[in-house]
Amino acid sequence: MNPQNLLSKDRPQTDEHQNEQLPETLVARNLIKLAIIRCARILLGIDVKWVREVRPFAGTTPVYGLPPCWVGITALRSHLYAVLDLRQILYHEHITAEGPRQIVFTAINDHSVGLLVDAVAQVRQIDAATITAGPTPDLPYILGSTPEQINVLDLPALYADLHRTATASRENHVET
Amino acid sequence: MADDELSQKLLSLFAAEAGEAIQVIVQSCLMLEEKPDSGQRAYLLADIMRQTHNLKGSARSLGLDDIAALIHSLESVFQKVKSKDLKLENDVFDLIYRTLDGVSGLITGATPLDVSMDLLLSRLKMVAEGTRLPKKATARPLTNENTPPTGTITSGDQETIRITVGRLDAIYNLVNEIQVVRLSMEQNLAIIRTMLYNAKPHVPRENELLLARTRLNDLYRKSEASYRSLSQLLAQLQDIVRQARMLPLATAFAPLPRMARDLARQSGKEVMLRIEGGEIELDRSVLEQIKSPLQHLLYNSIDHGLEMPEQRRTAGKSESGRVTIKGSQQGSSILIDIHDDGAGIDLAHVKEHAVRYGLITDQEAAQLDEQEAIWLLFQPGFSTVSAITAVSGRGIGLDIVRKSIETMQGEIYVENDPGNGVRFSLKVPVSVATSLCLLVQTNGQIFALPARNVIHLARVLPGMIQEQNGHLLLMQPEVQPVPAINLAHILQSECQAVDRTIQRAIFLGSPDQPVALLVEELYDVREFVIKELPSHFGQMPLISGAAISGSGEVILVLNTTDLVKIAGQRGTEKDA
Repeated sequence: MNPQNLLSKDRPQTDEHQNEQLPETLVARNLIKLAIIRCARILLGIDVKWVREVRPFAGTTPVYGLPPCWVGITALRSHLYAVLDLRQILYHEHITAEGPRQIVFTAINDHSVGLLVDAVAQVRQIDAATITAGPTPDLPYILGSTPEQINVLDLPALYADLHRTATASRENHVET
Repeated sequence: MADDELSQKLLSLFAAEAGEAIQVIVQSCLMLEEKPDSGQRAYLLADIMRQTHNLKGSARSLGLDDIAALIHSLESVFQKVKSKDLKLENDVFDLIYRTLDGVSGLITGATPLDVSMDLLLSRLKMVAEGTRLPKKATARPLTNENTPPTGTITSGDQETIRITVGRLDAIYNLVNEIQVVRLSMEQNLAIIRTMLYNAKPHVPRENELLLARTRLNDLYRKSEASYRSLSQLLAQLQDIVRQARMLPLATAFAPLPRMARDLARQSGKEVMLRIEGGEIELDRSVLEQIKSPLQHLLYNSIDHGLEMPEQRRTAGKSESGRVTIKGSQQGSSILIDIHDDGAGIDLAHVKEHAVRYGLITDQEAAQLDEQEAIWLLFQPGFSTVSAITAVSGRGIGLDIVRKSIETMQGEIYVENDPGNGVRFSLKVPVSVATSLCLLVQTNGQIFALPARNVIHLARVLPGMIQEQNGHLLLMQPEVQPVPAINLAHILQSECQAVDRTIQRAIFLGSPDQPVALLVEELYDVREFVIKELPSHFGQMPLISGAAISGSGEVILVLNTTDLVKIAGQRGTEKDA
């Protein structure tokens, strides 16, 4: 997947032919804002257009029978969020976190998920064109890296996988 | 609601829909007139045909024959245009617009027809048959002496305004969110009240703390008064919004007669469908959710329940099978019965089928009682029909019915009378805005149980829980033992190794055949807005939703139907 396609799909597209004829300084850069997140050993970037809020993690309501990557369920302004432990998704293993953690409340269209992370460091504006496909750690859902080694999270792909898993769960239940 | 009132409401709904449909037709015609050969021609004509067809059907169903006749003739004209047998020229457009004006006039009664009904019909017929219209004929004002008054709908004092469902839902959701805030305030006030009460004996007299306490008391009283006012206003607002969302049950019943007719013709059976209680009103979201279950149950009654005419004759019944659908209100719930006079459910066949498909073993089948065997029908993928028919027997119908009803915190009852028929009863709430829930605790976690599903509560004393053949039974003096389940064991929560003492039993299910849910502790009954679980969780047995407490914590709402079912089936409980 081309990182730029995903990151810029909700933004006004610049006309490439038009840009070719303009001086370089006038070419509008495709700037995006990333929420920079620390999760275990790496820095992750999440496009802020999908971030609704960041809150300190103060526990969730456990839900019976879910895979261990789901921490539980919590509420933010009367809306329910399923909370996903991003460490488990990225590393496929349970790594005990030390110190306080945070929940990044995200939403894409009508779907929403809370991401449990170590910390949200800052919000940084970057040029989408500088995101390269490598070198990227061998982790899932990473679109590419910035020159500052911030790994851009492919949140739509993560959501799509969660949706597929949930759908399969329902279908399996029906077939059981 | 009186019949007249119901008719008036349906006519008002029709008037609103017809106004919108006519607007779409006019707009499409204008576009066709402006660009007759545009690439959108086929799409516009298809849209016009759809609108006219729907409008005609609605008018006919309400007995508005004049309107239906006009639209029918108009539809014939558009059919000719669509098949390219007729070219849309100015005089044809004039006639179309004049006809639509005439229809609007008949609907609203506001503008009298300036042409006669018969003349319009004859002109439309001429156009449809390819005869040219006389020149300037439609420009001549005509009398409306032949226009019958039957198609006129008066709005009376109930002026209506159309609002999109999305906007109404947004208001509704906002009211529910305010309700959550109110519940939070209620809880906070209760905490302050308790703190004030507890602080009383410890505060010395005539010091700053006493003054602070007096001020706090005063503030509490004022806050409580504000809270009461807010509660009253919110209750009124919620009631108005709830009323705005109410629709008659007839809306869900409307497609059933046609379905019954088609299915009867398809299966070679004779069916008499009787529908009662269409005037009862319920929330739009509930109404939407019961449409599919009703259709499934009607399909099942006709396709599986009713016998063929010759079989009925042999059984001493009338050749024509009878299906009755009856809605009635029971407090804050609506009960919908779907009753047929067919053959009933062959439970032996149901068990045999379940064994054949590995749902249960022979031994388990032998131990099932009537209700447990009936419940097999609601299992995912279960079907007693060996040959899949066009409309049912796919093994998903009753499972969908169960899921839909449970999503609304509703219940399903089945009464089987072999040889004489089956009665499916759906009990659903009138509205799903808020629900009273009983809070229970097990393994340190608090869960909510919809209070309407609780029969009664009991304190569990030592020795009351006994194990027999792997089943838990709750023994009570002078009462039959009741099947019991330990909630902690069912949920298999992480603390299951901790042996906590069961103190309470909650009786669920039907009063005749209750089951006991064993928990550690009971708390109070509270009002909650129940929300659906996040979709990412997938299939969640035992949990039907979640509520947000006053302090913002999420409380899972237990699925009582699943619990009752498990209590009836579970034979693996080892201890309490």
